[in-house]
Parts: sequence; structure tokens; C-alpha cells
Amino acid sequence: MSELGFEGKGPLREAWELFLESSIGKAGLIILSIFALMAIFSFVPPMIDPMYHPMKGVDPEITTSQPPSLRHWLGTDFMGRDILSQLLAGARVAFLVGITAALMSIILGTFLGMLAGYFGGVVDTLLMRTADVIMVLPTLLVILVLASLFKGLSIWSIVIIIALFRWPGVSRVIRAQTLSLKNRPFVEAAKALGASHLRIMMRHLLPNLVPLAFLYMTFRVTAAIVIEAALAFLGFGDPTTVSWGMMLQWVWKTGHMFKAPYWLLPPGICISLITLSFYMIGRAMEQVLDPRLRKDWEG
Amino acid sequence: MNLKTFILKRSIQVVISFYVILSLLFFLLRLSPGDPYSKYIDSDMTQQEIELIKKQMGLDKHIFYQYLIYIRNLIKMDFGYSFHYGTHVWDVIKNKILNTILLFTTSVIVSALVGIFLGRIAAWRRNTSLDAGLTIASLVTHTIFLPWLGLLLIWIFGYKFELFPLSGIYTPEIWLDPECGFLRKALDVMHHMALPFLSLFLLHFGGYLLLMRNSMLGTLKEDYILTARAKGLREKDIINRHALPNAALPVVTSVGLSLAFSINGGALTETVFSWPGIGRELVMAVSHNDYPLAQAAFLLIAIVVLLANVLVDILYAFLDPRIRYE
Amino acid sequence: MRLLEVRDLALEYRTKKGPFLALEDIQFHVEKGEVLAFVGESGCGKTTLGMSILRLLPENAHILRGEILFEGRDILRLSQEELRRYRWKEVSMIFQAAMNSLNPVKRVGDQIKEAIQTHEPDISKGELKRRVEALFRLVNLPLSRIGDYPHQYSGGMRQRAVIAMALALRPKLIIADEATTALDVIVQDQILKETKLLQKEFGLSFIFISHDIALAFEVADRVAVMYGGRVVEMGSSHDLEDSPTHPYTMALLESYPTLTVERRRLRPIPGDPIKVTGGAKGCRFFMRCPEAEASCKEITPPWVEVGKGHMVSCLRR
Ligand SMILES: Nc1ncnc2c1ncn2[C@@H]1O[C@H](COP(=O)(O)OP(=O)(O)OP(=O)(O)O)[C@@H](O)[C@H]1O
Ligand SMILES: [Mg+2]
Repeated sequence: MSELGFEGKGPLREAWELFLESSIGKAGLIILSIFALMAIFSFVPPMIDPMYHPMKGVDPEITTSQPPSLRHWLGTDFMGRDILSQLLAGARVAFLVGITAALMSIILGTFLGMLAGYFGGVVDTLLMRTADVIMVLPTLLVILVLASLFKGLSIWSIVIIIALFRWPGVSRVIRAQTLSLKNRPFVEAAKALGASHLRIMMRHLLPNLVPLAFLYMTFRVTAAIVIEAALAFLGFGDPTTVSWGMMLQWVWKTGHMFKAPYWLLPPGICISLITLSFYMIGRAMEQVLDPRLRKDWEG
Repeated sequence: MNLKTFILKRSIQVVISFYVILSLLFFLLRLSPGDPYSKYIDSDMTQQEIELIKKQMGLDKHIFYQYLIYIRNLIKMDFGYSFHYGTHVWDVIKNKILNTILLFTTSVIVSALVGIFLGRIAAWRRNTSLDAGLTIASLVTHTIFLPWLGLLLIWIFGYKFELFPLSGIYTPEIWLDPECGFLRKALDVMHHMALPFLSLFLLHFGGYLLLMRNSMLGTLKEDYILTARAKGLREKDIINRHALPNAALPVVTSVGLSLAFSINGGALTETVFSWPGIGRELVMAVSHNDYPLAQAAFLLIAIVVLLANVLVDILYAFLDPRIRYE
Repeated sequence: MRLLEVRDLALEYRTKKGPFLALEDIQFHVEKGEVLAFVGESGCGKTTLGMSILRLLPENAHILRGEILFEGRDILRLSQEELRRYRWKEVSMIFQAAMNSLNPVKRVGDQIKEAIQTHEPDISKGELKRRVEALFRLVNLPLSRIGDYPHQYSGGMRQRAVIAMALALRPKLIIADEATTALDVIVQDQILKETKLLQKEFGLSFIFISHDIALAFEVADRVAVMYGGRVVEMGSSHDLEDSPTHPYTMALLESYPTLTVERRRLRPIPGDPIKVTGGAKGCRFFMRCPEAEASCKEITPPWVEVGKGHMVSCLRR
């Protein structure tokens, strides 16, 4: 167009274009949107018929697990509940758990990492040693022990515990980044102008840390989803919600795993695929954020 | 800093970490709803037994005194009484430790080695269909839901084709037969271990492969690789002698960082395959509300992970002179 | 026969943004025992030129035309195996990032040994050890440090180790790419003196790459000035120092404090270094040249001999 040119794209736009160049990233997005659709459709079946309520809806004519039919596209479980409705509801739970837990752990990790990096000294040592201890703890088993102490956990307490045990990885990265930002001219300048610590952190450091935190978020989502699913699979999930892990537990514990592939396969495929999609998106984002991983010439 | 002080330093850190963990457990127990000792007491116990336990744990005394008793008991390997088994916790757990270590270490080591080996190939043949195939395979196996993978393996290889046993660690007939030699028994255990090992292996090797591939690609751009090439080294030697030892370092680090993740998987696998290890014991203890057993199993697992971490660190220091000779 | 002769070399990097012509019309030779310097500002293609002599170019570099004759053999036609035997044995290189050209997880001594063993596989252990020790003595490194790892060395020591490695096989030609730029002046001076002695002693030839034209005059017999992937002026150090002819050479000389003349205020060359994308015609320095006129933009300047062996490529001369 004109001399002024429209070349100067925003950084977000540029990142997005780089992201779309990665076939892994695109594939991840596509799979993920299918799950998003599933989560949305999970609100539909009960409106048609209470029989399709994932938890309470029992087909009165069915008393054992049934293979797929027109009435129940994916068959029913041992009580005659519709597997497809459960699968759709599971998508909702997976998103809920994955995204909230990841968001919470990222926020926690970013703030603690920033504090440690910015203040250094005792704060740093204390936070990072705590992070070291938490990092060697197997989160799933910790939650198991907590479950035994507190006699069962609701979905929200599971989410909170996951977040509490998943911040150290992020905080380390954020801390390192803060350390390198801390001595940049713009921060020094703000300090010289007498900006408060809070202001420097919120106005100058945080905006530079957010993209990195975002990258970690996708990997945290996979971790949270897997932990919740594993917990439910072991029988310690929230008994009031249907999750894919819980569906697998039902197949397994009711002895249907050798005879009901229509019931065994879908939840496992869903957990694996949603993890895969977040993981692929994470890897593609890594490539956008880390220029060293970029391919800048033809191969 | 030489290797000795390095190991010493790390060992002290481990002791501190472990101390923090067990103290946290103690205080969490006091914080949890209900009487703390209710977790140590079963409804079948007689009043006498209850009094005895209360006395043993010092539950009639100040909380600080209870804490000291708790520590003393742990040092004496006295983890209390398992209600589910009706015996001392240590007696339940002690012969499960080796089973866990066997499955856990073989799967971690083999998957790291295979990941490094295949990652090297993927990087070496980058942007070929082999590379694409390895990358996709790794992505898929690395994100597959582990218990489900276990169930599939049991279903296919155990049930459909009857190639491997469905569960357990050994065939009682073989082990009870006095005629059977060591080799026969070892083969029997390996036969039982094949599927649990395979599922842990599949879950892990992909992560290491992807990491190794990226690390190798990064390393190949380093200046010392150019030097090696300029020196007239064969491509094979450049990869194996110069790139590999450097590219493998981040993989070793990540083995250490992912140990906690691996032991989660270990517990799930043990449960799915009824492998008699500490992880499965922990899961069962939690479902039976057997708190003393759960606590002991957890502490043991924590020790295993902490020690494994130190071993990985020592290995790293051994591979990277920049750590060894500070 | 000349030791090295490069004829009409042109090279492009293929990037996502299109091809980039990094070297064009490169023509020069190196005699036995001679030091030839290449100078020019960052990005003019000095390293690319050095790398092409060892055929160590990155994957996206494509040689478009030209010949690189080493003792009459065209390096560009060598098979992989021949190339392997040519590297380091005939021509070795001190890389620009000498600090990073040692493998961090291998002992320095072993890295030097490896170079020798690669080309002399039958050498005995004792002989190998003796050779490495001799090299350490040659570059003034204490023998006690042979078994150390690179990170235990100081920058200057690493630089010496790299030089020792380049000398390990007594190659006929050594390409030194900014070999001393990262060092402080005193160490730099010391290393240059030592290298010079070695060069005299063994009758080595050097290609000395630097952005510092004063240093080049001091070290080299002949100097070639590069701009935007082309050599614009070439001649003996004396001729170039006394009568720089190309406007770019003059600008370079002005922008550097010389060791002989009293330190002047540095005058940067106005304008930005160029990036050439195609086989553009005209003089590359056109945009920044104080003497440029319309024809400079259209006509690629031919070589003019302004003195004995003193060539310049400028329409205005
Ligand atoms: N692999 C590559 N792909 C694309 N362009 C490259 C590549 N390597 C170098 N270039 C470009 O080629 C030009 C010449 O690079 P070269 O490294 O030879 O410069 P130089 O003269 O050695 O500079 P310096 O003094 O900074 O070392 C530069 O403009 C550089 O950006
Ligand atoms: Mg250069």
C-alpha cells in the first residue's frame, strides 16, 4: 500500500502466524476444538431426555452393559447409563479441572517466581528450597495421602491441591527470567525514578513474564487433566461428577474390560487425545517463544 | 568442588528434604478433621489395644512430645500397625520395596537409554519420514493415559493372545517347587514384568526422545561441532564423540526432574497389573483407610525418589566436568 | 604452483526471505609462507569466505560458481573422504568463536590428540603425548594443564589451546578468523607475536580475517578489503596503508585509530552496511560512498591495477 506500509504487525499477530506454521500446533488446535464442542454438547442430552443424564439417567429397559445401538450410540454402562452422555460430561470436567488448575498454578508460580527473582536473598532461598522439596514429591501420591487424611476430596479441592503442588516448575523459569529482566535498563530507570517495588513488578516485569507463563500453562493443563483422571481411575475422584477417569474405573472394577471394548476405548482415547492436543499446542508455542528452536532457513 | 563434596552436599540436602516432608505429614495429620489418633485406631480394636496405641504415640502428651515420638519411631522403622493386614506396617512393606525398585529403575533406565538412542537418530535424520514417524510416535505414547494403556496391554497381550500373565509378579507353582533353579524363577519374574515394564517404557521413552532430538539439534549448531568437522572427523564420530555427550546432558537432568512423575506412573502401573510394590500398597491402603500403612508407603516412596535424584545428580556430575570441577 | 587460488567464487544463502548473495566475484591467491588479511565490517562475508575454503558451510549455503584450488586440486570437487583428509591436515582454522570451539566435556589435551589421531591413526601413545606436549610448549601453555577441561582455562589460555590445535598437524595454511578479537590488547599482542614467530619458523601461510584494518596492516603481507560480499581493494600492506584507493578503504582507515598515528577521534562510516539479495549490478558501496555518481549505480566496477599487484574495483579511479 502506501509508503507507511502495513508491515509492522503486532507481536501477537506475528506469534499467531508463527504458531500456525507449525503443523503440530494446528493439529493440536483442531483436536482441542473437537473436545470443546463435546464440552458444549454435554449440556444438550439431558434436555432431550432425563435418561441421558450422565450420572443419574438410567435407561429403564436396560439392566446390563449394552453395545452401541441407535438409542445409545456408544452403548451403556453396567447400570444402563448412556456412555456418550458420560463422555460429553467428561469433556466438561476435563476442561474445568485442566484449565482452572493450570491457571491457578501458573498464577501462583509466576508470582512466587517473580518475588524470588526480584527480591533475592532470604525470600529467594526460602521459596526455591520449598520449590525443590515440592518438585521431588509425586503429586498424585501426595493427593492420595491427603485423600486418606481428609476422607475423600471434592473436585474443587483436587483442583486446588494440584495447583499447590504444580507451581515450582513455572516459578523456576519465571525466576530466571526475572533475574535477567531485573538488570535491564528500563527496570533500572523505573527504580531510579523512585517507582515502588510493587509498581516495578506489576508494570515492568509482569508484562514481560506473561508469555512465558502462558507457554507453561499448556503443559500444566495436561498434567492437571492426567492427575485428575488417574485419581478418578483409582477410585478417589469426586463421586458427584462423571469424569473420563471414573468411567475407566467403572469398566475396570465391574470386570467389563475384556468384554466391553465400546466402553473401555472411548474414555481412554479421550483422555489421551486431549492431553496430546494440549501437549502439541505447548510444543508449537515453545517454538514461537524460543527462537533457537525455529527453522529459519529451508532444510 | 570435587565429586566427594558434591555428593556430600546433595546427601545433606536429601536428609533435609526428607525431614521437611515427614514433618509436614505429621502436622497435616494433626490438622485433618477428627482426632489424629482415630487414624491409627480401628473399630475392631479392644479398649486395651487403643490405650496401648495412645500411649505408644504419646497422644496423652503435648504435641511437641508427640512429634519427638513420631520421629523416634520412624528412625526405629516403627511405622505403626496396619489395621487392614493386622500386622506391623514394616512387615507388610519391607518385601515390596525391591519389587518397586526393580520395575521403576529398569523402566526409567531403559526408556532414557532408548530415548537418547532414538532421539539421536531422529535428529540425525531430521526432516525425513523416519524423523516424523519417531516424533509422532513419541508424542502419542508420551501422552497416552497410562492406566488405560495398561488395560489395553492386558486385554490384548494377556487376554486375547495369552502371551503374558494378566497380573502379579510370579507363578506360585514355579516358586514353590524346590526343583526350580534361579534362572527359571528369574525368567518367570521377567515374564510377569514384561507388560508393566512395557507400559511404563512406552509412556517415558517418547518424552526423552523428543528432548534428545531437540537437544541434539541444538548441539549440532554449537561451535565445537564445527571444530570437530573441520578437524576431519568422520560424521559418525562427530555425532557419537562430540554431540552425544553434550546433547545427553539435558536428558539426564530431565530424568531427575521427572522422577516424581515416573513414580506416579509406577504406582498406577503397579495397581493396574497387581504388581506387589509400595505404590500399589499405598493405593490400597488409602482405599482401606489404613492411614499408618499409607503414610509409611508414602515416606518410603519419597526416600526412593530422593535417593534416585541424588544418583541422577551424581551421574550428571560424572558426565559434565563443569559440575565436577567447579 | 600457488598454495591456494580462488577463482570467481560466488555463494548465496537461501533463507525464508529469499536468496542472499553473500560472496560474489571473489578472486585471490595465497603464496606459500604468505599472510593474506581480509578486512571489512561485520557481515561483509569474511567468515563465509573462510568457511568455504574448508567447505564447512551451513546447509543453506550454495556455491553458485567458482573454483577453490588448493595446490591445484579443486576443493569443491573433492569426495567426502578426500575432503575429510584435506581438512586440518592441509588447512586448519582458528574459529571466530574460539572460546566456544572447544568441546566442554572433553579434556583439552584429548581434543588436540584427537586431531592428530584422526589423520595419523597409527601413531603410538608415547609419540602422541610427546607431540601434544611440544604443542603446549610452543604456545606457552603449562604442561600441567593438558588434562584440564576447557572451562578451567582462562580466555587467553583457550585461545592458545585453539592455536595449538590448529598447528597440531603442521598444515600448510591456517585460516585465523578474528583469532584475537575477544582478548585484551596485551594478550592479543603477545599471541600475535608468538604466532608470527611460528609462521616464520615453519613457513606457514595464513589467511588472517579481521575487522581491524590497522591490525591487518601490522600482521599481513597483503590485505584484501571486502565490502558487501565483494573484494573492493587488494594489495600489499604498504601500498594500502600508504595509498588507500577505494573510498571504502579510506573510510575504514579513518574510522580506526592506527598504532603509528596518534589516536584520532573515531569516525564511523556513515550509512548502514548493505544486504544484497540478488546479483545486483553497480557498485555495492554506492549508497554510502561520498564520491558516488549516477554511473556507479548502473555499472559494476571492473578491476583496475593502480600499482604493482595493487588492484582496486572502483569506477572513479
Ligand atoms: N547460515 C546463514 N544463513 C543466512 N545468512 C547468513 C548465514 N550465515 C551468514 N549469513 C549472512 O551472510 C553475511 C556474511 O556473514 P559472515 O558471517 O560471513 O560475515 P562476517 O564478515 O564474518 O561478519 P563478522 O565480522 O560479524 O564476523 C551476513 O550478512 C550474514 O547475515
Ligand atoms: Mg565472521
